[in-house]
Amino acid sequence: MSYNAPLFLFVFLPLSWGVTRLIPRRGQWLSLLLFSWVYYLSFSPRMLLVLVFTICCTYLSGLILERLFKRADRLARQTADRQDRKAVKARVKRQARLVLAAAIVIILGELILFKYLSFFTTNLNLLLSLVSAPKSLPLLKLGEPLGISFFTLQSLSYLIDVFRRKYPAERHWGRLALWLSFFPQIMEGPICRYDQTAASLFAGHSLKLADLTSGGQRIIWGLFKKVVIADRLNPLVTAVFDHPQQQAGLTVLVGAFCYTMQLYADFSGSIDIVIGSARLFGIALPENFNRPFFSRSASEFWRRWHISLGAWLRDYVFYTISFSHRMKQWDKKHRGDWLYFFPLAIALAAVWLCNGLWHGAGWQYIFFGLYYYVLILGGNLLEPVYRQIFTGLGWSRQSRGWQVFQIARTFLLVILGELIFRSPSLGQAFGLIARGFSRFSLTTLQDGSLLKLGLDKADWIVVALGLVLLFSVESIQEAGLNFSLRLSQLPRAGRWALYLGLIFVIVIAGAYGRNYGVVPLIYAGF
Amino acid sequence: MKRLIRHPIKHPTVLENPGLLPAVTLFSRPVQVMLKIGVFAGLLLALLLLLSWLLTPLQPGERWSVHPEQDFPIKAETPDSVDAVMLGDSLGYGDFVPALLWNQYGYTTYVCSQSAQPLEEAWAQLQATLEEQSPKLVMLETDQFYRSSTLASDISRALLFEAGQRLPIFRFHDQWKQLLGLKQTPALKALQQTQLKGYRFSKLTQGYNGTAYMNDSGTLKVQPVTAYYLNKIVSLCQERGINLLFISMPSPKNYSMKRHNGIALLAEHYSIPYLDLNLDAQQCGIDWAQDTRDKGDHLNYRGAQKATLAIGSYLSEHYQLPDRRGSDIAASWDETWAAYQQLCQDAENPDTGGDSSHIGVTEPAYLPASPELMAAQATTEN
Repeated sequence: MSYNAPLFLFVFLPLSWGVTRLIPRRGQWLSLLLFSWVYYLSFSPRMLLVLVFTICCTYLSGLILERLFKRADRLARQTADRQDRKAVKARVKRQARLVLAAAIVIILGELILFKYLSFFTTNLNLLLSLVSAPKSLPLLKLGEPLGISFFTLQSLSYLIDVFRRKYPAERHWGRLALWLSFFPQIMEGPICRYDQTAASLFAGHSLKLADLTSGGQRIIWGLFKKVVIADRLNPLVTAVFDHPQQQAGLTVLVGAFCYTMQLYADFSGSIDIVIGSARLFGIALPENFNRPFFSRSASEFWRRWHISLGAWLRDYVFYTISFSHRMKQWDKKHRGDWLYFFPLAIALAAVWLCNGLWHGAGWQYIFFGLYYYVLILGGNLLEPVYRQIFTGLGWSRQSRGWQVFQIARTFLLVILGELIFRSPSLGQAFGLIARGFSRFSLTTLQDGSLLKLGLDKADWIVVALGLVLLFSVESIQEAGLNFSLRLSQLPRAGRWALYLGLIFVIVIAGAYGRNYGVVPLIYAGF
Repeated sequence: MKRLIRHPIKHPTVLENPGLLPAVTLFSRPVQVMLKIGVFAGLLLALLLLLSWLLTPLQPGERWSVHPEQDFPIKAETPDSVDAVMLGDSLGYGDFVPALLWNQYGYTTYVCSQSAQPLEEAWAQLQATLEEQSPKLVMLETDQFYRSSTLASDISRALLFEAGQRLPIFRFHDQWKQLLGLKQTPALKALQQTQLKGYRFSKLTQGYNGTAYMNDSGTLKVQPVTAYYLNKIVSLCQERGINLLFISMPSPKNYSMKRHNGIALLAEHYSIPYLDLNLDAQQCGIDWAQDTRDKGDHLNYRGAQKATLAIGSYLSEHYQLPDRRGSDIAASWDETWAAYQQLCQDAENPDTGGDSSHIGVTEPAYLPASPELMAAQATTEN
């Protein structure tokens, strides 16, 4: 039951909304939790056990950490001597670190078991075959629980924050369970922090027209992106990436561009539906996109694309490494010399390895991470050089022309990255890149090849107009105009005409129904 | 006093003069919200009804008429001329050749199949078929019994189908392409398929490695939604006195013993005969190195010949289908046979490289003339 599926939009969401609204505010959390578990059950009843296990593990580990800290505080209060107090705190910190490490091992172990085991086993078997080992390891296919990449990261962030004493551990199991299972976000995120949404999820909300309007707007806009743009591009993307040997150079590049647009429209569209659905219940989820194609560098792109993943990796991987004791020492020792960048290089390497692996168990994903690692580290290292060049030439880095160039450059780099990302394997990724540039010919535009890839003339027109509308709206937002506010200031007739107009476009130009296959949400597969 | 502070009077002027009370304040706030939702939903429904009226393909010659044979191609056939229909997905239209059974036995069979056709679509195809035809046999290709893996996705698809039955815009929303002249009407491929009585010719060859695929165990039951529509199909066939036959076309990619057992259970439950060509694909002569177009998913024209002849042999043995050769409908079927033969010859001929673009595809007579269509030098994608 994807978020754009009729069953979700016209049955599950209205039913869960109606039932939750009928319940007094104090009990609404229970309704949301039960509907979240029913939603999860609709995918795989057995895998619900994995989610419940994660909730239990997170809840208990949090309580143990909290108890340790409270004991340390109590003992510290009872001890007059400062040295003793420090010793007590250090001892408890060690114990807490052990508890945290055990919890991380269990939760990450769960992720590895379900998501990466077959990848690691296949590669180990490959290594074993290289050394002519007589036996190979059996390949276990356990299946992947829905949203495991999302709820395990949420769980880890909660435990680390409790360990860092950012907030106390949750004593109410229901609040934690709902935060980890909330159905609109379980499949594709955003990866929320506990202090961002748990209270709002648990609180219960009265019926407000503003919530319904705002939620409805987001859902319609998300459906437009997903059904009109992303799903319509799917046949072309599948044709190009499933049959790379049959493609001309220009077709490969068009395929990479179309996949980039498909991925953006699919992921940001479903996040719009997610945020809109939560808003119907009065719950505000954090944004996960901020018009990424207006970014001027790769690092800015990742601050605007899948924001919650980037922020998670920044807070729990990058900062953990770069602010570690050893890295700080290194920083002091090498400040000013060329080795100064070492902590940054190590921390970024860890971030991009995790980013690549998070997206999937495959070498193409690891290479995708490496690609951005090189781009971002290179950008950091070359920054002083750029500055010198610009100063020397007397150019302004804030000029309009330079900004447009930076946006275009970032856009092309992102497309190249997505070409690697979408390829079925690393070998095919290299093959596609080589094909894209070696067999490039503009005759592909004239010989009708682009109309033989699953999109006819009408489909191209829909996609083009859809993208024009999408990026026009984003341009206006980028210029600082609050679209929702302007919309709310329109007379009701105007607003409703716009809503009905957009629904009309979705119904008429959407890629759904008997002539189209169902396209699963792309990020739900990660 | 506290109560008063918590709920300050919002409209003092209204309270002073009740005649000024706006109509909406007659209702509490949640009711106002629900009323607004209701009005918006009403407008939306009106819009959908209007679109349905505008874009539903009508009968030939009527305003907005847009080639209804694309939805139900069998409607292009002479009434009461088809004695057996095959309902299925791409394994139906790619693997079963009516022209062969015409030539071999004089049977008039027709394939009512679409890509990834689910059973509810088969149900719609059957209903449309029975409007003008009286087949004696309905063959159900069983790959469509396992269209999706979860109940939720099955229900979602069925919801969209049922919505399309009531608000046709959900079914015909793509018609604007043809209305605006942005798509050939109908596509050459669809025309060719109509000419070949629902069969889609393919000359591609991508061999399957030949690994045995019917050696697993267990039973894969069908989803309740599939069972629901199967029940409707069975009931309709019983009501009209039509024989039903389950057929599984040879396909290593789509079949397993688990699926066979699941289908066999259904067949037993409804007392419907079941012909599974996967159990001994070699018996009907399938050579997996040569006879599949996509590594064991579908058969190519060579494989389809073999599978169809095996089915023909089974039909001649178990059913009394009439030999219609020499009847007044024979001309159309002879044309089909000629077109099919031409395609096979082109596919075998290295000089043409299997190019079948010059196949004599003709527009069905009842369609309005569209000279630009016939002038199109489009090639088939097979």
